[in-house]
Amino acid sequence: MADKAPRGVTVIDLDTGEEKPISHHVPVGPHHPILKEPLRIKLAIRGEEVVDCKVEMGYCHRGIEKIMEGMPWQKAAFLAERVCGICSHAHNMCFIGAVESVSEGEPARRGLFLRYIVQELDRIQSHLIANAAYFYSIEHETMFVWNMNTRERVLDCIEKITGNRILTGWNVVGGVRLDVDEDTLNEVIEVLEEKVVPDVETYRKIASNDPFIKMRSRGVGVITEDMIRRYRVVGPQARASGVAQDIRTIEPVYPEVGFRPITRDHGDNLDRILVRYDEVLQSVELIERMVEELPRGDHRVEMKVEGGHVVNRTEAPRGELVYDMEISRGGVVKKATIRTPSVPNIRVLEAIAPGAPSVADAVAAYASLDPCVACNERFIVIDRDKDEIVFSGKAREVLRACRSKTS
Amino acid sequence: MSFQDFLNHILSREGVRRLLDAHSSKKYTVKPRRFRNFPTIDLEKCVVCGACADACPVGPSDGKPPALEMTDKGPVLHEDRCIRCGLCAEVCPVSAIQVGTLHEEREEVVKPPKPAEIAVDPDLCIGCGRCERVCPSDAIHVIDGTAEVDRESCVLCEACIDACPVAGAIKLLPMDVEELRRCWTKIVDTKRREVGSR
Amino acid sequence: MVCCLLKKLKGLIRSRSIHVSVVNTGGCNGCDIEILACFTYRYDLEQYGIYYHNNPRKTDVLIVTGPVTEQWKDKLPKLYDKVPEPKAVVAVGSCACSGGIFNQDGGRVGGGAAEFIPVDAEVPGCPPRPDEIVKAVVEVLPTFFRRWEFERGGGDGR
Repeated sequence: MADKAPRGVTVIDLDTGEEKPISHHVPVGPHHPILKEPLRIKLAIRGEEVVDCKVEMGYCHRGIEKIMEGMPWQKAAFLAERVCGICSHAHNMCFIGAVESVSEGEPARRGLFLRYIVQELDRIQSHLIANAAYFYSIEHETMFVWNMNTRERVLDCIEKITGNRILTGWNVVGGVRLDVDEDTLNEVIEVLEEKVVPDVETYRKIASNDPFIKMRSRGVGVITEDMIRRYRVVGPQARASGVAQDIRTIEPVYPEVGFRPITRDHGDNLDRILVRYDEVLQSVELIERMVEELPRGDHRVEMKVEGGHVVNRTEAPRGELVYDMEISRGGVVKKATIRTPSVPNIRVLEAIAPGAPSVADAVAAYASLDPCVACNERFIVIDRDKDEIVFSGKAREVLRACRSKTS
Repeated sequence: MSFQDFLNHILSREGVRRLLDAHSSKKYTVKPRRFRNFPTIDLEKCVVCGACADACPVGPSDGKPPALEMTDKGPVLHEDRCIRCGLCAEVCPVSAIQVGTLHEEREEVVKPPKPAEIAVDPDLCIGCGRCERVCPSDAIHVIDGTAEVDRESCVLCEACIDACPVAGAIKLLPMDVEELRRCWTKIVDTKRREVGSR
Repeated sequence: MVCCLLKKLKGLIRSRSIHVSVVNTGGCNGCDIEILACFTYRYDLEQYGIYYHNNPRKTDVLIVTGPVTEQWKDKLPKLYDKVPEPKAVVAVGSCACSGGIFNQDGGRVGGGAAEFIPVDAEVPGCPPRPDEIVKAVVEVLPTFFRRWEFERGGGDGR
């Protein structure tokens, strides 16, 4: 009798008299202590076990792609930057790279190197805040504060080079906005070598050896290769499962400084954290080599925008970022479509959360995916006659709504 | 910090003040030189060309003005709309808008055309050197018994005209209005093309 | 006389312990991160007695970041109603002040938080530096709570 006892609450069907286990639904969000950004996760639980998970988006839809239409690139670059505040430099760089690929001539070599130096600094701070958010979600506050503190030092470096902490507005077509002198770069390298590298090495040691972190992280939220193929997971989340997928291998500058993607095997929460720490240390090495090989010359050259259709890809801190744009002669954006890495990365939660032994583990798995909700919200369906939202956030239902409106 | 230092700090005037008043904010970090703060607009220098308002990426919407609104007297900044991008400082032809170091570090600063020029009549000039002494910007020099004006550094203050003992030796020649207008249109057009106004 | 003293005492105590909740109404994350940085070592808002937790039912101050998107237009007033009195709202960033860069042709956002809930303080900037946030919060909030009993408080002083 005991083994047949339903786990969780039961309800008796009045017609048949059967006793059925029902699952509770735990809604998380849009405003919730674990979430920094608005998002709704619906967890279905039976007892403590999570049996189903649905992710609802659409709380951040601002209509960026629509505002971008008809803007010259000088203004649209600032708008592209404001898609996401954490990986802002990657967005800016991808947008500018797209405009450059339909322009005459080549961007300045020095400008390109300076651009990628800031990109690697941006990756360091993004990875550190992602790991900090994970440690906050498993309530390891010490590591949270330590990670944030190291991030402040990296932000100081970015600030010294570009002028702002985040949302730097650093790239222009043909190079970068301002030139950087050698002293500043040497100061940056000094900070990275003396402060950031020892800190991050300590954190990596703690994360891989601490028994409590191991208990919460090892074997939780495992992403298999099959899931990666089905959900198209990108970035450090895919590399933690052994898939060496990195757009940096085909970007300029990186092959010259000897870049090679880092992978780990297990694909669980702990490996995703450790891959990020590995990449931070690798980024520091890349920055050092870039500063060594920094060419002299102009930091910015004039480029004439020819116009055309272009697809540009960049490795953002969270994975592959795609800008699909149509640009007219003179540099006015006709149409833009942005595909951000967080969309598949958050979707995969629907696959890894069911089966988690408790709600807290599902939450930890969510935080380890480095979710960035502000990147996601790309579509919304509006009934123009009634001026109300039909649906937002789910691709399948948006398609259905569109078909019902047009057929 | 030793315990002695700690006690000394607490008992010092600063320490007692901080103990009693917990709510006055300290200065934490030094802002870097390049930090782009809100633009400061110098209306004295402004030539009301409107390039900054065209360059601003924050456009108007129903009920809200754009971040940089153009009026008859010059640009007006709405701080609650401004995103501190610094495009206005980059396009300003006369460096009237300052944001961080952008106005200093950009490639070329366009010199505005001067509305008039100082001309010296070489037949009348006696080479006394009084104009050289009164000139505030060191723009006029006596060379070989005749005063010569450096147009770049002249600020058109007319001090030399007042000082000159010979009437009519130094004159202020106003520039042709059409010519001036053409100069200005050319400068503003180049600037606008650079920033790609709609 | 006693009532006045009591009010002063209440104000003093309230101004020394302020609980904050951050609501992202669809912004780009930049302001949230800068607010989070305020609570770490270097800026350390907790030394002024300002505590951060995200439960609106326990907070005194709602910090709003981001433009108010379509989905938040009805949810933000609901969230505001859940905060107990006395309460204050601080809009951080130009998006929360006026809609920022998103509030122009083509954008589907409201014009700032002030259109939906009463806002007491605004910190412009995109994003404001942690210095600026700390300065604004530390200068405005304690004074607000010290005066609340006299300016807005109920007649019975509760």
